[in-house]
Amino acid sequence: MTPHPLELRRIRKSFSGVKVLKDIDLVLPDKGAILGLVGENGAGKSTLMNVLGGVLPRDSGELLLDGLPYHPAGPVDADRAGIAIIHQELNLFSNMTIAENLYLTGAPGTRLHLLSYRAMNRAARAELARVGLDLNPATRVSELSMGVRQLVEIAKALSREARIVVFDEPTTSLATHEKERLFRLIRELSEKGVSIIYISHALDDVLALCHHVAVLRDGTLVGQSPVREMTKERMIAMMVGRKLDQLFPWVPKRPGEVLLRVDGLGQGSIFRDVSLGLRAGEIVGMFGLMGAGRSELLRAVYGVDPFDAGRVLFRGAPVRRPEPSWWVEHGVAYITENRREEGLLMPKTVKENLVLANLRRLRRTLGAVDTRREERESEEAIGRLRIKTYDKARQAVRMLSGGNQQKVVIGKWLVTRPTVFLVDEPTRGVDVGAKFEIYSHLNALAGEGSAVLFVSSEMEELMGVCDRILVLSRGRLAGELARPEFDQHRLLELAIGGHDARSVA
Amino acid sequence: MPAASPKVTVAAAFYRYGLFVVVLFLLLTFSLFNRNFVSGANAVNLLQQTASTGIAASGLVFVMVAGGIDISLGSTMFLSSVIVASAANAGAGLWPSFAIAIGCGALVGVVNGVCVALLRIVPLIVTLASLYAVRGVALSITGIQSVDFFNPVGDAVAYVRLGGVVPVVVVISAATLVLSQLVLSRTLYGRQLYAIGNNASGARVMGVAVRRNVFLSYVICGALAGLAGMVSGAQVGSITPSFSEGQEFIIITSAILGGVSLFGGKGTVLPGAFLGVLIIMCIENGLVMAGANMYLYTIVRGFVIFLAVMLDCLRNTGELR
Repeated sequence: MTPHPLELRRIRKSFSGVKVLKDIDLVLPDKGAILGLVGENGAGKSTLMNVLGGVLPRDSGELLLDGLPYHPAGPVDADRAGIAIIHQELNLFSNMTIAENLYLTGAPGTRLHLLSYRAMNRAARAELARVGLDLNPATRVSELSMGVRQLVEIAKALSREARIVVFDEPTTSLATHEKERLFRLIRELSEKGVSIIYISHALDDVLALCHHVAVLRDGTLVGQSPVREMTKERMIAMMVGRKLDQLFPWVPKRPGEVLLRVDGLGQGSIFRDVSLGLRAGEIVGMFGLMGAGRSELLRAVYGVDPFDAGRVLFRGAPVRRPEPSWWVEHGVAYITENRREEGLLMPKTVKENLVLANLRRLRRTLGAVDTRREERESEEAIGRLRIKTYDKARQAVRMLSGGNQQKVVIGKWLVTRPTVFLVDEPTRGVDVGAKFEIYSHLNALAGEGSAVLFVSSEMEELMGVCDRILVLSRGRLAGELARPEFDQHRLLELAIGGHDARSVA
Repeated sequence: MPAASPKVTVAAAFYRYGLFVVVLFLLLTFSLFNRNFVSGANAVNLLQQTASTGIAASGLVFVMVAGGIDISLGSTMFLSSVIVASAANAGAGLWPSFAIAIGCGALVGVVNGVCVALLRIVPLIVTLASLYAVRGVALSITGIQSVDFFNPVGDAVAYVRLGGVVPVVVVISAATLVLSQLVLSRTLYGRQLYAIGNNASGARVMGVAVRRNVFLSYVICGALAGLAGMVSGAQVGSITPSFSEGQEFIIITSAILGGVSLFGGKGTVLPGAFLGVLIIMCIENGLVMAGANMYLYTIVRGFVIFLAVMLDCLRNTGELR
């Protein structure tokens, strides 16, 4: 019997006394296998891959490559052993060319320590061709789209003769056609005998792409099985450790007065003539393709960016110049798309971040912060969104996993109980369990009489959660669907067609 | 977006060639005021004046490209010039003198590098401390007296012209600039510095020895500051206690003006930092020729620093780092 390409035995890892990996046994059964690795945020997926890639040392346990012991002391060892990890945040240097990125730690044609750009570019061109890219290797990475960068990263892995390639959440920032191209490439690699570990929250993708699925929960491997024995429901049940009765909680509501109204808003060629109203007690969805102007519209309404036509009204009164601080004072909250950059104080603790937006309400006489309430509210947010932190008063947000950072941003605003809540892609990169919590919270908010505007590019969640859905197409409102009319085809049609189909260039 | 692309290329062209235009503009302006300005003699003169700043700036580029900063340059220059002048006065030969100056600076660089790369202290604080400490050490050596550099070594560096035309300082500075640029753009070490300046943790994951490379950048920077101190000391002849004071800001400003980013990952020695040095020298020369008073110098310098940093910040909005 030939040995497995990769076998992990009883891997353990703790951070400051907190067990993150508990006796993990994981097997990549044969050459060219695609293994899907799923689990909630903070279940230990990234830590496990960092151990595999030599970025973190394991506490105990064994790793075997083709049956031989493999114990990396650093990333260089992993590279030599033919293991490449394509991280969620790509490790490309945007200030350098493709060729320079490919050959950062060793270049072809180097003589007397002097690099030969001609040899580098020639070799790089060949590597790019292997992933189907016809690009000038002297192109600066900053000029490439995210999808192309990912292919470059894969080319880099292949140029190092990688036998095992790990993809960590590769599709979060990809457009649909880029995703399809990536999947084609992964399948090709697998046919050529490269083994793949594919980490993702997109369970449908995992089912479509992978041969085997392994599920992690709380640092334990809950199960591994061939994909044909797996269903989405089963994966979710294994990940969450309990059964979610329904993915989308929805309750009928009685909309009240219009809280926020947008009247003929426009901003250059980005969006035009957008009018909408948000009523108390309803969740309004907003759908549109990438670049339709959804995020820009929200930013303008909230006063982050200026607009040049139309007006914004709050409780019937026009807001002369919208300004984020003014909105916050009036109980209007906004979660941006780049919440990790714009929504968090990275070096501060989880608790400090959670109560930040609510400090005004936590004031007692003389302006001192009510520490007992601070404690209670942050504890509640952590519990309800199931944020994985070992010590909320000591752990910096920077040290949390990506998904948990997002939960902190959302929790931060949820505790303020906003009267109007504008959310832009709140569930991107968040695991199923937390998604469910976020939906429930939005529902609860609406139940208490708040208005919610929910921007998303996932039709399924919009249809599950919203009372009505507005569709934005190339900067214009293309239509509105009420709950009984919800239909994926109709939504897509509106999003693609718009009423300006001729100008598609 | 076809409408937006010409604008982008104009901006890109400005970033790429703007410096050359500025230098040309300055040279033209001064030649209008002073007929002697565009003479061969004055060109050599200008290069002589830029020599020490250019040498120090090329060392600084190594540090800044990797995302660091060194504000102890002026003090390092002072220390090395004091020690090398004393050694030469005591009879040290030409080559040993060079070794002493470079070694002296490298030693300061080692201290800075250990603090930044191994102890992980913020570079600005580390080099602020050495800015004072190093000058203090040098002052305690001189006993707050001036040190003369009027000896054969000093003369050989400052006055000798190769073939009777090209001054030695110009040769030294040209060699330093060319070599530094070669290391930065044509060796793995140089490319790795750019990677570190762009994304240090990413570079570490890629297997780049980040700490060692950063440490080395401070050593190179210190060593070249030492060389610059010797050149500058030989040129002025008498090293006063305030020698090179504030020089670091002229060097840093030159580098930033030349497109070396305070945010790391970007910039070149040639043409970049060197053009920056030329611009600063042209401005100072212009002020001298115009007979401007002392206060104006400081005001103009402040304004240029502001302008340089503002340009750098503008260039760094967006992803283009």
